[in-house]
Amino acid sequence: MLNRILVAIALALFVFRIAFSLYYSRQIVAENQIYTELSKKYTDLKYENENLEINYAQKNAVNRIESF
Amino acid sequence: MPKKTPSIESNRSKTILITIYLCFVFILARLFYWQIIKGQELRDKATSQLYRLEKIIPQQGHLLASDSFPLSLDYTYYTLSFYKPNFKQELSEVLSEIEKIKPTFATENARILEIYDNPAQKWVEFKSQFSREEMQSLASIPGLDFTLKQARFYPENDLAKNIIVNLEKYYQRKISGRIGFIRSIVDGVGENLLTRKNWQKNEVDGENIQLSLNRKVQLLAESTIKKSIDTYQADSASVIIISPQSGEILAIASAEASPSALITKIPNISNLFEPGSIFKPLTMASALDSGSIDLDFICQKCDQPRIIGQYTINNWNGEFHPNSTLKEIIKNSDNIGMSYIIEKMGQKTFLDYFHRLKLDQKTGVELSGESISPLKDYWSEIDLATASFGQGFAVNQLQMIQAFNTLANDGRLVNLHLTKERQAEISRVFDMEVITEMKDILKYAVENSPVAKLKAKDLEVCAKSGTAQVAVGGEYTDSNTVGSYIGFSPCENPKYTMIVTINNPKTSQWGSSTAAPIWFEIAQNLEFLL
Repeated sequence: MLNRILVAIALALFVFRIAFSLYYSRQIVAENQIYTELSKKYTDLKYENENLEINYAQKNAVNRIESF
Repeated sequence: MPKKTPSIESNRSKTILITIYLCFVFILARLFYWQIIKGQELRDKATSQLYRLEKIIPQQGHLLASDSFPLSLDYTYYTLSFYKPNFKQELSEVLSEIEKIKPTFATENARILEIYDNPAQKWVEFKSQFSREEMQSLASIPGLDFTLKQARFYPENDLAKNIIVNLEKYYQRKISGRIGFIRSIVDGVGENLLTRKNWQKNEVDGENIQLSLNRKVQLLAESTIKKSIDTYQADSASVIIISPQSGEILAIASAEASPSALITKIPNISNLFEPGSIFKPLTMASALDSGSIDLDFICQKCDQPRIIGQYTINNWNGEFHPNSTLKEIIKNSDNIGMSYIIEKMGQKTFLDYFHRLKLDQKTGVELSGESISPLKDYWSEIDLATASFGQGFAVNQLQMIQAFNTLANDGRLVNLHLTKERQAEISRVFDMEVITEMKDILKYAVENSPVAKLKAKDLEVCAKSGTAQVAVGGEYTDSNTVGSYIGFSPCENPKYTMIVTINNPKTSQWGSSTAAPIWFEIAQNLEFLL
């Protein structure tokens, strides 16, 4: 009887381990994708922000005025 | 068939056994080689393939003008490199692809392409800059490698360039920030994996620094001073405009006929000059404040030159003004009268005020390269007499305006500064009563001198002109002079204090004919800007 219980526990743990791995590995992959996408988005926005700042500065520079 | 003898069988099994042993020893030796001898190297290699250490470049801080407009910005660009072993197309095909985006690429990089033709040269980097979009459209071509780079961009072009570059050097630590690091596990294609073993030290972005420089005033100062070099055929000219109460520098500009190659050089603080007659109001205020002379002082000996030992003190135009009052001494820029005033004050009191006006020390402005001249240890009678009209000692332009500004700021000396965050240190030098009198004297001098015609009717100015001879080979000459004009406007609650100096003007040696017109031209326009 004790042996059966031990085998059942071992099998249950084995099944749980597999289910746990499957579930969280999918989670990790999904999170990783989100992270990669957000990283790219951040880089794009940073670049866009930099360009907007430069455009703003070029348009509003006073050194373009020839005389007062 | 003859039966094998037991000795032959025994030999054979021994041979097999020895061979097995030898194989075992060989395997052990190999394992020892890979795990013990080469172990650390292989572990390091595996770790370097598994982990990646990346730098996180912080956002650099910017310098901001008084209206928070950025005077410096950063921009990102990419440089292109060719790596020959990865090329899958002919060079001409790759170049035509690149020239679809950058038509001048081959001509811009002709020399580097020549180097690349050398069969031994496998890798070259080009100087052309590519935007992110350009990089993305070319990145798929094999053999092309792009490197991300950052550079500084100055939206106002050359405006206050030397000041900005100098300040960036001064505040380098604050502006640069601190680099961060990410150590992470990567997958087979080199993408970061989210694991608990990842380690990150965040970057610290650089701080923005708010300056007191007013862009419009700076532009006005720079353009006027540049123009004056040609107008007066001068070697150089400088101007500083400050806010009298806060000590904030609104504009600081200089121009040279032969510009210095050193971009961070700021002649306003690095060049020393003898102030000449613009120093007279400070001598007079010191004498009044110390009680050495009264408001009703009259120079009874001003009807002739003053002789001290082998030296003769004369006036600039050779004229004499008997029984001059304080107002007339300043109006006529009377050297003889000033020499009698300083005589009453004495060396000790004079040097005490000189120190209180911080003319013997650096202003401490947030710029590198400030020069000062040490005061002489021994003062003869003639040294003291000439010091009364600003000869025989040297100051930089910033020291001079800081000292003169005490007259504009109700007798309080305020430390000049370029950044808004720096708190002004204030110390009282002259009593209010003295200041009221000095303002009256300076106003009278402006309105009753030839410079009055340069002034707009509604412009109230308290100012003084000066012409200092430059000592060449130990002797003063009339051929090399520094013309200057210093003052503030309006006389009560002034909006600005300004100093203009012009070195070695050829059209006229007098500050009233060179520096004063520049001062009034700027002042006229400042009315609309401040």
